[in-house]
Amino acid sequence: MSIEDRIRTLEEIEAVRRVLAAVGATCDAPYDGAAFAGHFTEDGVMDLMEMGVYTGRAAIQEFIDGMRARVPFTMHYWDGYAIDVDGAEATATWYGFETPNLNGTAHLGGLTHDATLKKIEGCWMVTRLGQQLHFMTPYDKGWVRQRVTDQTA
Amino acid sequence: MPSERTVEQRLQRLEDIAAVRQLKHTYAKLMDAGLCHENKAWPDDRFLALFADDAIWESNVHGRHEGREALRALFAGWAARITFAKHHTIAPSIDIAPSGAEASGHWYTWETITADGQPIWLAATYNDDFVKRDRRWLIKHVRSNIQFRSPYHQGWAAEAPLPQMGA
Repeated sequence: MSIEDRIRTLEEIEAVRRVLAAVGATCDAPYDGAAFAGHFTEDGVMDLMEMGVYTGRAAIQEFIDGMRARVPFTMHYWDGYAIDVDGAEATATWYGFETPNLNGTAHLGGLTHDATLKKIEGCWMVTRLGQQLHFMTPYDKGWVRQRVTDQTA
Repeated sequence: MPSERTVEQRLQRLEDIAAVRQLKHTYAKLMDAGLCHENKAWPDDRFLALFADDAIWESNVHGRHEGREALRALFAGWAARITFAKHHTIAPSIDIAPSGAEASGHWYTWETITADGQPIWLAATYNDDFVKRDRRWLIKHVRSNIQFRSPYHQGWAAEAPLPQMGA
């Protein structure tokens, strides 16, 4: 691989990291569904498993904007990124810790995430964002007494 | 960074930093996946292959374990007690030695664990060494300095201080 290609790979890893940071920030309260969905391709998919699969920017934006009513507060602490870039395609996995207010109760959430991205017209766009929920527990219960609070009710 | 370094050397250093960061994340990810697996046969060879043959895993709580078979026994002991774990590896700071064949890295870690059926908070720092063999980075020495390891419902203020490494 040429020096130019090796530098480009490092630059693209950092570019993907910045896009994912922006994705995380826009799904924190007060939520910006348009900005969040704008990081996805038109046919992008957000697969939240037990919380549903949302295909296309409009469906993704509607879900994120709907968070204001369901989850008045949360912050996404994302860390531990492992990012691989191959030309105009990238994959990423990372860890998430969340602090939502669900049903009037402070919760703690432990998750992992994965994503695939494509570089389109100079911008990295998310083609698929996945989420695996390991626990979402009221802070006074813990993940053994109550592993998951239903967020779809 | 000395200015006499070539572009190739400077680029190699950045690639090595990225590779070591990725290695630590793989360590956390494979450990968590292995400990959480219902039919666990862990540690498996894929996880142990992240370590050099003569690697050391050491902490102020778990003691010092040297060599791949000692590490296998250490991790198998955890697997018998731990049914859930998430290792958040945070704020990496990685240095590549001038030789390009050794590296060190510092991380914070925040862990949520279920051990013996009980939820546990764990906070620690990692001060690790790495070695490059056959163009591949391997873990050479893990130093996990655990700051607290507290039952969820008790919290870390009530826990007696743990011994610290190097103290």
